[in-house]
Amino acid sequence: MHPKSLKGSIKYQELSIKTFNMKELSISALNQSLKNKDFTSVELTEYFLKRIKKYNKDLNAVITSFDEKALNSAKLADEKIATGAAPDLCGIPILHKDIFCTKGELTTCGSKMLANFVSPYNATVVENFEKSGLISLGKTNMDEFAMGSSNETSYFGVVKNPWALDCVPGGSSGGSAAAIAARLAPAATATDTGGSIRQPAALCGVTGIKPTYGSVSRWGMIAFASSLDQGGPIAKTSEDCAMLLKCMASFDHKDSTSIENKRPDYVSKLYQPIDGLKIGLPKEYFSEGLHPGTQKAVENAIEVLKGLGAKITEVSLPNSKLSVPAYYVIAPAEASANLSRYDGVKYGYRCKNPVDLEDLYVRTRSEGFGEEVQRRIMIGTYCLSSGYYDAYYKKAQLAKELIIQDFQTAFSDVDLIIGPTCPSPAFQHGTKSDNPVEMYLEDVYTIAVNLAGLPGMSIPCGLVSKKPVGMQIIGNYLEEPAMLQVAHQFQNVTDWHKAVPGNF
Amino acid sequence: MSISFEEIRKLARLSKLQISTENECLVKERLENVLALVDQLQEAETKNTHVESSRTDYSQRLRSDKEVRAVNRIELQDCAPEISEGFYKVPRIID
Repeated sequence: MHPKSLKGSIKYQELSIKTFNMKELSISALNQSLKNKDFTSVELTEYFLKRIKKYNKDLNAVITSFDEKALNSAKLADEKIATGAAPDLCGIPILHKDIFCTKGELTTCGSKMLANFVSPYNATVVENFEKSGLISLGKTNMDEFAMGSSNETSYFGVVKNPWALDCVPGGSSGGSAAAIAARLAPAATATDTGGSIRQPAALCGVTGIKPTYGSVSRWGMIAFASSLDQGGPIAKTSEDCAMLLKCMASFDHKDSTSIENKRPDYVSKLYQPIDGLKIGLPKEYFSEGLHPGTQKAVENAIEVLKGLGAKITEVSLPNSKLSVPAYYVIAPAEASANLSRYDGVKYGYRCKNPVDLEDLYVRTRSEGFGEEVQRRIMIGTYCLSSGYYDAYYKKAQLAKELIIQDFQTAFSDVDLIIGPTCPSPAFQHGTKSDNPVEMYLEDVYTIAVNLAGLPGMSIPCGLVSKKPVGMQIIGNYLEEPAMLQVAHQFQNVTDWHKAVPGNF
Repeated sequence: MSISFEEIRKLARLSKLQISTENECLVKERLENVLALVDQLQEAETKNTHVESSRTDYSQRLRSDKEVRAVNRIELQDCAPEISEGFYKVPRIID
């Protein structure tokens, strides 16, 4: 019996959930089902809102849920679908990282500083998705101002990894990655300044892509380190990410570093075989510090790619070791400038009873920012201060050039570079939070990609002690189609992306 | 890598942050650890390296010389902690 013929909304929903297993359907299957009227966007949206209600108390992945607004948007989407003229992805729910401004809704950036900030406008990314009819379901938890690799610096509390609740989901987009892993939404937005899409995607066993710098608009995306920040999607599969990126990436005159050229076709190459594609393995990414289980999982995945006809060679990125030190000059330097706007005057937190202007600034910032944010502001201030600029900031910019040259040399021989996304699977809460340097080394394989402005993605490729491992795929500028293609072909013959944590 | 308490206080002042006396030691220790990491940069051989502005074909665009109203003042000021008659309110500066 077709579920449409049943009456009574609850029974109907239960049957449709059972029949269609909405949480496991791909974006393209959801798109097709909505167009076929197998279920409506309202039903789909209700389904995911219910999942958020049910599971978020265990995970803390979502800060704000847009219940009523989401259902109203879903009704409009259903009307549009009924006309037969709805754009692709119309009616599909999506969660946004709480770094993207959403008009009339809280946008906290995981900070006490913005805990009550209601944005007066939409980020271009949110606008792009809403114009296509996607349903904004709510906002995901994140490290405060995207500064962190464990989602432990959020003012709204730690996020738990759905695979092991005593472990971190990674960060800073830990809420988005955990939400996709627990199937609280079919899609989520995220941002990546030093690995903040790829590392949580790896630790939560989902797929995430940071596109070439300049592909996705930064307008309305709260700034951390502007020369490195880049938005991207997190979803279950490479195909889902390709479809989402198609909608998310656009030229935006409001972002001065937005690439003017047309974006590549992220989708059509997915289905082509990868026979003959040249893949380089950087020897520096398979050395000391890499967890043996992670190494084995990535090596096994490379064997699968070999079986699909990829040609594997070793490459060298000799200046990789400079990437973490260079990043921890450049990113804090930019952050110290970007975060100077939080002064308790125009928006955000303001301290109580300031005695004078200096007191207003100092107490607002000291009470409103968490410890990690304050540390990075001070590091940035130090590196930019008189007498230290050449030794730190200029030197870091030169090191960045060496890192870019390494990648360009490698890309003269290979089409893509593949390695682990992070050194080990998810670690327990609290184990690295007292040691900033140890936490910073979580991003040792991802940071160079941001410094070079290259695209990078992470896909699940194994489990170690029942925790996911991510494989990182790095492409040359605007080579996202080839990265997504390799990832999709890999996911065609493997099941790691289908593995779901037991309790969700 | 060692920084003095004097420098820590100066950094806090420049950053418009306040560090409590009991927290100074911890802040100092953690900053020193990060700066020791950052100091690894000094090993980089960069004598013949030059900074190039960009690897992708960005060009600095100029916007057209037309007035555009992005967000209206009232909506923007709705976000402010304190306003008065259309102005942002701060503690008295001049007596």
